[in-house]
Amino acid sequence: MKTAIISFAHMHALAYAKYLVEHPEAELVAIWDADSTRGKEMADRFGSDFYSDLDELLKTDVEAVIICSENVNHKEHVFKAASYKKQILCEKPIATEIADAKEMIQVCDEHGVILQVAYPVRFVPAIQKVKDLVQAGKIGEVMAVNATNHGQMPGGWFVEKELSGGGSATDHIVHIMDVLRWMLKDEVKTVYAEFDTRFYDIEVEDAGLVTLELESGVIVSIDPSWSRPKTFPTWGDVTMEIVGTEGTIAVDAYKQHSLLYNDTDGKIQQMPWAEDMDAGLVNDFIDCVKNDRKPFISGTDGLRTLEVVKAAYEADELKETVLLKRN
Amino acid sequence: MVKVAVIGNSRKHLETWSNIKNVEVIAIVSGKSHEWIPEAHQKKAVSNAEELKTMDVDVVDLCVPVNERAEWIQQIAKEGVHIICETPLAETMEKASSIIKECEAKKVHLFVGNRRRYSPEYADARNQVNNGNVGKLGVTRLSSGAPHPGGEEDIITGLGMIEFDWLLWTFGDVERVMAKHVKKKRRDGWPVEYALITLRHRDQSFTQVELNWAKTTKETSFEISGDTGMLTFNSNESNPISLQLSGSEADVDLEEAVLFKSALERQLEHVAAFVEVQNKPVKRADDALKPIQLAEAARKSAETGQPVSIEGVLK
Repeated sequence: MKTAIISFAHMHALAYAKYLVEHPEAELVAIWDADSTRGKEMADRFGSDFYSDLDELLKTDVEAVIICSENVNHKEHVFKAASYKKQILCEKPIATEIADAKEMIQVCDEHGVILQVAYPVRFVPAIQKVKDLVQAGKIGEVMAVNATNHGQMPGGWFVEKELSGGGSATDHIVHIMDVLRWMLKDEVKTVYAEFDTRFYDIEVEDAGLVTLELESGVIVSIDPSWSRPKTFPTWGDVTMEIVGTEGTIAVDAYKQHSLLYNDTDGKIQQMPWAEDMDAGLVNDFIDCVKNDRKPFISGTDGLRTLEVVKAAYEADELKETVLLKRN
Repeated sequence: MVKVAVIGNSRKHLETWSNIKNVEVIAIVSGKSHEWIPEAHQKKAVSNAEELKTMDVDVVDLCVPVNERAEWIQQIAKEGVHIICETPLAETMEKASSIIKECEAKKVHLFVGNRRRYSPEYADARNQVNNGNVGKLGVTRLSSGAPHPGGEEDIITGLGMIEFDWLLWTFGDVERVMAKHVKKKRRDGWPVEYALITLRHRDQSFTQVELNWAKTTKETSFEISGDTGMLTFNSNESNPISLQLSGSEADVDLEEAVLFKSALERQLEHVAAFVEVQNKPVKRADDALKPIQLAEAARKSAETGQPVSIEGVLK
């Protein structure tokens, strides 16, 4: 199966490219990037052809594309790829505006193409295990979830609002939110949040806390802050403590690592040895396309999580709890 | 010699006082039942506080449930005896304020303690924050968990107060509170209770407090992040000893911190040292109002689903 990557603006593209190349049934034949230097470099690195014109790339017989452009450009690239009937895996967040996400879902429906949103955390073995335990009722009735998706400040276009749509809240709420909806089969009822810029001199938020209540009454806290110091041994974390009436499950998605005390570079580093979640995501996408089946992470999943992010910004603005409206 | 009277059934307080130099427990007011009192202290048992009048008591250590404190303090303050007790002072702001006024009128020094302030890890964390080791504060995460003790007291009082007192003391006043609180029953009928409380401080930094009465053991943790660093602690990962005995249940209690001197002993020692010099404990009553105010705001937020502003800074 011939595949392409549209933009390497998001660093996850590197991992996706690697797993496309490694996939026995997929080839990474084409790369487009607005930044031609980066695009050519990536094409060289992954043995692929670089296209400076996206239409030219999409006119080829490429079957599926992975879109890793800046958040605000997802819409344009999804529209264009769909119009050429390409199957799509789009980096999260699906879009920066709810109306855009809805249109993207609609356009992909109309063209009969897959729109899968990249939520790789669903492919972490520990997360799947926890989902099984929770759904089997091992901890009884779930009462509360205390979750974090911390990060170091990523810099680059992530902190330019006109390209990213927002800071740490945009970047980090959606991963936890997606996993919770999937694991608990529940939707958000109310949202409260406050954000601020506390750690860096940047124009977007880098700190904050989100408090949710789900339809079932489960209470949730999400800490999406870019609060990991520069000396932190890895980029960030995804953790959840799920409290049930009969027990508690705590999961640290990136716990499967060894610690390297690295004198050469003067730092301590987490060296992951886990089964890579990005491989799971890419393999699943290829399988979806090959077998013409619906992705189990849909455009609607992307929309639902974006709604929570938008409600969180609104709550922060109003300093009031917001009742979530689903589109 | 500092002469202490202990009111209430607290073997732990009694034993801790006995460890402190220049302190003598001269009376134990424990109502009808004296059985819990160790042999060596039996003859100090008295049935009611009236009997303290005739004794030369420097300070009363009040170890009774929160809802009984107001009445006791009123009675003791009348006799002009100084008082120490653990936070919280009372269930409500109103009651706590009237206790403080009463003590002021009677010129009685009231020390409302919080062991957390004397726990080495928490005391050290405060020093590091004050020394600027993490820089400008960003997001702080505090967690306290234990099995549900049963009883009527809610988790916000039961687990929250000592966190609130410490965080107010360390990070300053709070501007706004958002809280969620759930209480349910396990299959066997025993209660489980959990609260998530999000605070916005006056300096605009954030604190999240997790209170968990669904745990099987006592646990606490903190993570204090700022613009130049982050300080973390987790009681589960800080025990220098791991004991596994084959073929039998461990009967050695490693849950209490591995310290020569407990947090309670540090606190009582601090009180005693002050009494020895000044003949009365250091007054620490005003601090006692803020955690109660915070708890009231958290309860209101949990009830209404909306954030609650803390109006006006307390004196």
